[in-house]
Formats: sequence, C-alpha cells, structure tokens
Amino acid sequence: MSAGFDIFEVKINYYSASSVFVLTMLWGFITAFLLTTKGYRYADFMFVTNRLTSHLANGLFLLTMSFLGSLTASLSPFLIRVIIFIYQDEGHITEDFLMSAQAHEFIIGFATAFLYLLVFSVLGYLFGMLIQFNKALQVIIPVVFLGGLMINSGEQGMIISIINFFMMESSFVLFTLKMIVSILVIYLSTILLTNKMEVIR
Amino acid sequence: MSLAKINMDDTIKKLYLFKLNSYSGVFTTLIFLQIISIISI
Amino acid sequence: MGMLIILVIIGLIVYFMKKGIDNKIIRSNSKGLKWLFLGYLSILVLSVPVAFLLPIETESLKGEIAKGDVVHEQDIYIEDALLKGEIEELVDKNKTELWAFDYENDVLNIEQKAEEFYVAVYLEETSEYTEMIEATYFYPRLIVDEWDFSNEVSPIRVELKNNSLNIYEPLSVTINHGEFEMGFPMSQFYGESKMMGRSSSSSMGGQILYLKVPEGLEIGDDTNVDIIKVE
Repeated sequence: MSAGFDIFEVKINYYSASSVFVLTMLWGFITAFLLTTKGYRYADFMFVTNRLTSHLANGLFLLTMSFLGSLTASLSPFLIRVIIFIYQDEGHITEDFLMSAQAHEFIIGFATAFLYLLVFSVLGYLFGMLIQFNKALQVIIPVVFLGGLMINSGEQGMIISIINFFMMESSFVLFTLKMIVSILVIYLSTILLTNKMEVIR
Repeated sequence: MSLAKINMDDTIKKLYLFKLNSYSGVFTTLIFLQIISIISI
Repeated sequence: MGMLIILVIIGLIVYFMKKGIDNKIIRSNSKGLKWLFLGYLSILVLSVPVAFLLPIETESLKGEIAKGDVVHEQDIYIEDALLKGEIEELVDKNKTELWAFDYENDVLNIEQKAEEFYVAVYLEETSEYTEMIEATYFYPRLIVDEWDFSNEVSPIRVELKNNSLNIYEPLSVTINHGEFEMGFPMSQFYGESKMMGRSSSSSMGGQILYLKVPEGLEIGDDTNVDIIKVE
C-alpha cells in the first residue's frame, strides 16, 4: 500500500504467517488424500492386516502429521519476524504482534492450527477413500463442492456457511467442540463407508 | 478375544511405525512448502 | 506468487505419486530426513528468543499517538504564530532549517524552481539586517496512520543566485514501514479482525519558508511564489 505525495511516498507492507498455515493445511489435505492411493496401500498388504487396522494406523499417522505440521507452522511467525528484520531494507516495523501477544495465545494458536490441519487431513482421507471406492466420485465430489458454493442456504452458499460455522466462531471452547465432533464424524464415516472394501483393490 | 485385541494393537503399532518411516518424504515436502512460503513473504 | 504456489503443488502431487509407489527410495532417505526435520525444527525454535530480542521502533515513532488532524492543527498554529511575529518561539519548538545569505541588491526575486509543490513564503522586513537575508524552513510533519515519520522528511533547498532566491523541491523520500500482523489462525480468537480490509491514512503538513529581509527590499517581477507579508 502506498500513499503518494508529490515528493513523499509511503509504503506499508503487511506481514503475517497466514500463508504458511494455508499451505500447511493444503499439504495435510493432499497428503491424506494420497495415503489412500494404491502405491501407499501396498504397505498394508505386507502386514497381516484388515481394513480397520489400516484405518487406525492411518489415523495415527494423520494425527502425527497434523501435530508436526501445526507445530512447525505455529513457530513460523518467529522465523518470519527474524527474516523481516534482516531484509527490511531501512524500513520500520511499526507494529509487531509478537510484542503484545501473551504466551497462552500462542498455545491456543497452536491448538487451533492443529485442529484445522486435522480436519483437512481427515477430509482428504475421506475423499481419497471414497474415490478409491468408486471412481465416479472423482467427478461427483468436485461437482458437489462447486455446487455447494453456489446453492443458497440462507444468505451465502452452503460451503461458505460451513466455513463460517468454524472460522467465525470466536469462542475457543465452542470451536474445539465443533472441530472434534466434525473430525470424529468424518473419520468414523470414512471407516464405516469403506468397511467392506478390500485392503488392496 | 483379548489375544486378538493384543495382536491388533501390535499390528496397528507396527503398521504406524512402518508408515512413519516409509512416508517420511511427506515431511520433506512439508518443510519445503513452509520454507517456500516463509521466504516469499 | 499465486502461480508459483500452484506449480509447487502440482510438483508436489507428482512427487508424492512417484515416491509412494517406489518405497525403496523413501526408506533409504528416512534417516537423512529425520535430521532435516530436526534441523528445521531447531531453526524454528531458535528463532523464538531471537525474535523477541530484535529491536522495535514503535516506541520512538509513536510519541503521543498522532492523528491526521495533528498535522492540520500544527499548520494552523504555525501560520498564526508566524503572522503574530512569534518566529523565535516557533524555531525553539519546531524542527527547522536555517540559511543566511549576504545580499546587497535592492531587488530580490523569489523563484520556485519546481512546479509540483506548494511552498508558503512568509516575508518579514526587519531593521535588524541591512545586507543579509535569513531564511527559516519549517519541516512539515508527516504522519502515517498513527506513526510520526516527521524525522524522515528532507528539507527543501534554498539557494541565492545573483539577485534571485531559488527554492527547490525537497529530495524525494520513500518511507517503508511494515506491520507484522497476527495471522490466521491465531487471529480467530485474538487481535482485531483485519478481514474487512485495511485502511491507511497519511497526511503531511505544508511547506513553510520564513524570510527575514532588510527593510525596503523590493520584490522583483520574476517572483513566482505567493508571499505572505508579516507586519
């Protein structure tokens, strides 16, 4: 952003770590999705296993992924702050949330990141499994998603309403409840829906 | 029943550890992605 | 940037697909990756104390919380005081630049050598000086949002050539400043929401030049600035 006077120019740069979080969530989704593809599922074949053990092991893996992903993403603002300092070329940092934020805010930020990442991971896992189950869903799911963006439920599209349901929640306790319930519902329905599917298919 | 349960826990644990080792490439990608988005800020 | 991300993601997917099938390669890398991850994590952890030790300039820039009106009020205040002849007190209180020139002619042209800015020229005839011109420049205040960048402003240039006093525009100044915001997802519960877009305001005071000239000095016809006479 810049405000030009005839002889003065003011440039304001806004920095935040949001993009790191967004990319990490995308990573979680894609990785979980790919866990369900054939190459990955061969591993399960090497052990004497059934669909449920495979699901549970994958669940643990998704938990680990989400933990490590959100841990690194939550620490990234500090590294970004250091990098901004090194490359700020004569500029000023006039506002720095690190200075005013409390320790518990970072911890809750980390927990929030973890929940978001986990919900994206189980979603990726669900979609991946569904597509393995029936290839036609490869087309149907994106269509339903795009349709959901457009179909009105109230004022906004359905998908937007769902996103707002989580993102506009300003109470951490309620947010955590919503998230945990959603994660369990998505994960359990993945298990139930693919229960009858062979390990290798 | 209890024997089956122990076996299942054991299998899950083995399978999980196997996945953690085999799919560690997943975390390399995470690091690359995060570093890219950190330096492109 | 957006394009880059998409390319990275496509690359990612291809990479994953390959690696996932070719398990041997992944396993042989597994130990190296552990170190890579630990290395990355330790850089991140190390940056926590470093980030808190970095100097921050907020305090020095903030002063009293400044608003756009301050600039306007300051201009009116200076204008009033100058017309009342309270220049000495103003010089004590404000950041100024002073030039003094020996001058023996009876006629003086005051010429502005740049078109794109406005400078208010105050002229006081004084018996103190007989063969001298004194020019005092008041630095304008520059306020961006609530930050006071007045110290970054560079002055106009004033030169005396033959029988004309030339005023040149100040060196162009670019003020870079950054704001490090609490991003998503922390901002969901803490910090004010920036989702509705940001607004930024900036205002700068006027350019003021105060001239003290010998009594009876005539202003020449080549003068191209508005002159406010101080009685």
